[in-house]
Amino acid sequence: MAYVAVTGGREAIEQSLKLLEIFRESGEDITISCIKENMGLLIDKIMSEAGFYSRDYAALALKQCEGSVEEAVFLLRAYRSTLPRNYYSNPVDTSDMRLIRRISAAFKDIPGGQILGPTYDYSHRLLNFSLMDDGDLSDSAVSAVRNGSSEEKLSSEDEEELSEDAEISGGDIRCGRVTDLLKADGVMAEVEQDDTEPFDVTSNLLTFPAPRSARLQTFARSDAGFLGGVAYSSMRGYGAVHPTVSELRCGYVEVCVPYVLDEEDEICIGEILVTEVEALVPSHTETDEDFDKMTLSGGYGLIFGRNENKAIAMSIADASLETTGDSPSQDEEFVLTHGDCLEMSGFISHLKLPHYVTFQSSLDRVRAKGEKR
Amino acid sequence: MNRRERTAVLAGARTEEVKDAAKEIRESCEIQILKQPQKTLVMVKVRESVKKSLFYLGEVLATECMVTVNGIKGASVMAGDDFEKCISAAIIDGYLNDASNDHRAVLEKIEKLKEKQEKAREKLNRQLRKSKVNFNVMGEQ
Repeated sequence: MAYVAVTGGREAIEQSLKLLEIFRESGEDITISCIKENMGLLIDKIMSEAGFYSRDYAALALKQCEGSVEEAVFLLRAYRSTLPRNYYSNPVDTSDMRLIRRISAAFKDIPGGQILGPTYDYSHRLLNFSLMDDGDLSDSAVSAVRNGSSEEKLSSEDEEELSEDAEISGGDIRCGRVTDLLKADGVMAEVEQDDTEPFDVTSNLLTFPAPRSARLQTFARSDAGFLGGVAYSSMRGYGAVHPTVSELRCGYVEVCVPYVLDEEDEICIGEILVTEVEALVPSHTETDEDFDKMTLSGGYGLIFGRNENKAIAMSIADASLETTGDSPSQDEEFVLTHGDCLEMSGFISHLKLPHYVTFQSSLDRVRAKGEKR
Repeated sequence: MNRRERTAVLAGARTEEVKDAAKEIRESCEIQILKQPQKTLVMVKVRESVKKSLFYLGEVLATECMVTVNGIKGASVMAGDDFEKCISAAIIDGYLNDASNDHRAVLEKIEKLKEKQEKAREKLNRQLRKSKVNFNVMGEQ
């Protein structure tokens, strides 16, 4: 049954759009900088699922659509499609990340140490009613520390704390990878560098089996909830991967592009915040012989912004697709074609639009069957 | 300070700071804009660490432009949509591309910006280091 266009409803649609504005507007307007400062993790989620890094525009999209994630992703993807893509970065080296957090669930002691950084992992999940009050308490000073800007004057308390911390290094935190140790020990195999140009899922139709680059790009853009579900199912038995997080790191990496006047040279366009996970997966063993041949392999996750569960889920989904079996998490086509936020919400959303002719056809068939009965 | 280092400093600086670094060049040199600032996408290519292969992480919003400074070309690409900052960075680039210019004053300004940025990160870095954790395994001596 083909789709049939409908016409009419123009005035009602215009009124509906007006109503959207009425519902969006409030007596207390929220600024873009306010959204950026207070909803950082939401901004990160939207940038990640849109595959488009711009904190300002992500905040604008959120403001425009009453905080709906899927609408914000739609807006950013639509806007991004209007821009030329004139540059491809040189390969980003995440081992040189300027860290704000770095932990390992595999080893207690790692060179460089474990930096908890900002995490909700150890927080009491109790509503903090003091935040109900309008808290403008040194907000600018707090954000200045977070963003590393120096324009804010230090309070006497800050100065006191600074003198107490004088012994602690203020230099940037950069550390080698945990898996480098395992490779040095011979527990994990060293792999050859693969310089194959990546597949771009935004410009090419995905076919199966998909190259690894397509898989990772698709996961990086996936809906966090979908990817979490895939990873969760794999760990609960609908799959074969229950990994150990070798290293989770979050921080800033520099993005560099070839210099347009001399391709041998490069320029840095700025830093982006990312979260990276390397997960360790021992090979599946059922017999003593399998056990003797047991090896460690890895799953990889990297996403825009701070979103640790998505990065971990990505590493599990990646590792899961390296295994064989009948579970959904091991089915490449299933996993790679159902996790895009825009595609899934668009497909579900289209059910709200008029289907009068298709439904009438179904109805006619049901009635005809009924008459025969 | 090579091109990568100085563009990293300028990208991390505020608009006014980059404009200030380009101010004297603007006043003393003939500037022409070859390519007006415009928004562009930069696709981020990453080398993942498990199989050391390449993949595309996503796109970054950026601004690009090209100028001439006394006839010598300069270019800039910067994350974000700040046209003023991008033009100023391109002017600095064009000026530094002419070996006959005296680079010292401009490079000194960029060096100072770098120091300022490092200083600004110190407090955060100290706070982060204070969250360094030493877990003890129960039962171990």
